[in-house]
Amino acid sequence: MSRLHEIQQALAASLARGGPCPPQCDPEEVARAARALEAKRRRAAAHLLPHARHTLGESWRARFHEHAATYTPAGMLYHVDDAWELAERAARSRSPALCRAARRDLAALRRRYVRSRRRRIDRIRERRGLIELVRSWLRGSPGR
Amino acid sequence: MAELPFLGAGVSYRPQWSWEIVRHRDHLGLVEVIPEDFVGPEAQRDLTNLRYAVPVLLHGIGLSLGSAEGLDAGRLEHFAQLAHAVEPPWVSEHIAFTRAGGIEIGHLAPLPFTREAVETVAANVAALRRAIPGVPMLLENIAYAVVLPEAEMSEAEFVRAVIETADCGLLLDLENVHANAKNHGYEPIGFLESLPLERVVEVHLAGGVWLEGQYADTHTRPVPEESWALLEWLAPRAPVRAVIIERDDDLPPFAKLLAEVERARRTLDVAAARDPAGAGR
Repeated sequence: MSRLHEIQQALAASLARGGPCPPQCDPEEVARAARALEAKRRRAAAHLLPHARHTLGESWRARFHEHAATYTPAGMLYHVDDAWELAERAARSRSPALCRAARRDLAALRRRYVRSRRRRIDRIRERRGLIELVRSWLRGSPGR
Repeated sequence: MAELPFLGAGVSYRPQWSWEIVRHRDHLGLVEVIPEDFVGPEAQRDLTNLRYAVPVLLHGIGLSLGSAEGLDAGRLEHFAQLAHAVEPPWVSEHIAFTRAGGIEIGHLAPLPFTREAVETVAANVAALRRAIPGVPMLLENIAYAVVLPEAEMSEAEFVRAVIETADCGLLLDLENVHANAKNHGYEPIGFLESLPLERVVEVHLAGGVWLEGQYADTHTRPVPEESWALLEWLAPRAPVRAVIIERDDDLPPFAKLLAEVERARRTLDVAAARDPAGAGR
């Protein structure tokens, strides 16, 4: 592995997965950057999950932190994948109000996007129009 | 790069502004879109429609041109597909990496200022060129919060080496220069003087916020006066053909954004009037 590759793997792990600070980097700088990255994810998720965000109120930040520490989103629509995973987890919560809110947000996401479990660039993609769907069914290859 | 058209000033595309952009197209010289906003056939159709209203530039954020692992084939194919559909006057990406070891960082991460990183970006740019032959390419300087070890050159020397080795135009993000100057303690004009200004084609402007004692390039505020001053300094010294006002969040009424677009356009006009031969038209 090249030196550049080593540095990149270490930095990616520390920024996105809470991994150790890369050697010779300033731990404070790296921790601050990781917090900024989490804040960016949280802002994007709040836009996509307005009901869950509202229901969680003051605990939204802590809830997102818990999610961010255990999930690394993927694909080109990275922020949608992130919000989708959080909503699915929230929809399994013990709080009936949060479950209802998360299901409403998930329904809105499903109207616009399709999510696959594969870690590829098209893990999340925009839902195709009706004509496109009918065509793919006729070809015998329904939308993924 | 000398033959590239002068486009003037415009905005970064946000889906919420689709209608406003079409409605105010006479006040916009161009719109810059992020390929990630156009995934799937419906979205690609929207993009082709948009280009009938206003000139469209493609601005990549996820190709990860600095990746030691090379380019992701799926992302490259998507970028090339949009470039063929839109036929932009030029395309751009960042001097950064966004993925490594199977992890998507979700943000532009800095490269170490080393010769190895320079060669890596140049090799990835060559791969991108093979996918979109003949499309002029610009690379953008980023704002960075983490200083990586083992630097073999300064940031300005690194940006120059990348631009010259990859043989690209420079997309100069003046807000990133402003942010880096504040956070890393250097003088922004001195930094600009060290760059290959003759290769500047496009400029980005945006506004950030102070967070935990650092100036963060969040694209959530109006362009600060410090960045406007940098544009006023730059415009008579570089062949700038386009300025983009970037706004990602806390979106203002579109009229406020148009006022910033108008200010950028006036700044380019004033520079051109003072030195018609030197400006990029």
